[in-house]
Amino acid sequence: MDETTLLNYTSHGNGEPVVLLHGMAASKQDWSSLLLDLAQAGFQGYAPDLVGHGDSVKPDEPPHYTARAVYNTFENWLESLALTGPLRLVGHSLGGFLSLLYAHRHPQSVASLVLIDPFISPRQLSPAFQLFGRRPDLTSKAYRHIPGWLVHLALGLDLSEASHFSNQVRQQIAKDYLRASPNIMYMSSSVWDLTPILPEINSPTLIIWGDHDQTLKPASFPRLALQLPHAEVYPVAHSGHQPHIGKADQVNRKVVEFFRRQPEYSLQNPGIMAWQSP
Amino acid sequence: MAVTLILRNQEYQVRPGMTLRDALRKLEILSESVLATRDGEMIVDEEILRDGEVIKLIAVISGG
Repeated sequence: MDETTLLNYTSHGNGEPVVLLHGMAASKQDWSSLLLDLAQAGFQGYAPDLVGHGDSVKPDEPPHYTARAVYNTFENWLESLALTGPLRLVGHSLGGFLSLLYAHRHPQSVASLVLIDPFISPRQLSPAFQLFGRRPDLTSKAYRHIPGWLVHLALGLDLSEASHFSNQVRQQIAKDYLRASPNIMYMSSSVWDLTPILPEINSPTLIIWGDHDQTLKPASFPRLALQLPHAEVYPVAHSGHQPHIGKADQVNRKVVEFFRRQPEYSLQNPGIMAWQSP
Repeated sequence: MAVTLILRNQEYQVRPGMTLRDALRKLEILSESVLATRDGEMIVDEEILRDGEVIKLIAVISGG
């Protein structure tokens, strides 16, 4: 595949780059409000649709959907942008997994990270999701037959998030889910445990999570913070797996504040006070 | 003997038997500004701190 042309992405703003990676069965639409807030704060956001998602290419062959293959396509796409200046990454769930891998492989270019309910290990998954991960052949078949109204209804029944999702947002989530390739289920069976590399990731990291996450165990996120050398956290009360959608104003504010506090932002923007870790 | 609390690589010592809330107050650390963990599991402010244990504190982003 030619990754430089097959990943669809949107870019907004003018300034230092921030790359935003969505989670499984989502799309770049997840970041529509954060892209605006980042642009207003002087950053330029880049949000791709990962392989098999949104408007990006959806190959028929399952090998294109292993976590390693998805990462390689993302990495090649990012390199093709030839971005200059300190790079900031924002990743939700699977996007968090990809962000951590990139930060580990490119320690000199990643200035800071924001991880939102990030995936780091199969052990974080609830038993039902672990079962899905073991049989991607079956779950990808089942995926093809889920009607849109059922996804929409299921989102409405997620009590931890429902009150925060507008009807329009629910429709968008359902649309992204339904237009994703069923082969994305192969990602969940091919992810691996990133725990061993965590102590080697030195980029300042903000971990945000919903305290009612039903997809990944919320108790895993403080443990992640303990293993990263420079992490701080922001648990979002009464939120599920997608606090960046359900509580976008609150989350966006924290993301922008975090990036503004980092020393590299102060160097590039004289007049802004540098953040010093006590 | 003592309980060790660690925040951003800085170690603090308090007496065992006090609650986490009292320990943080004594160290002048705002309870809302940290998450406390024992063996990787979060603990609440009412938890009694035991002799010899290590409590790791994680900074919670503030402001806004």
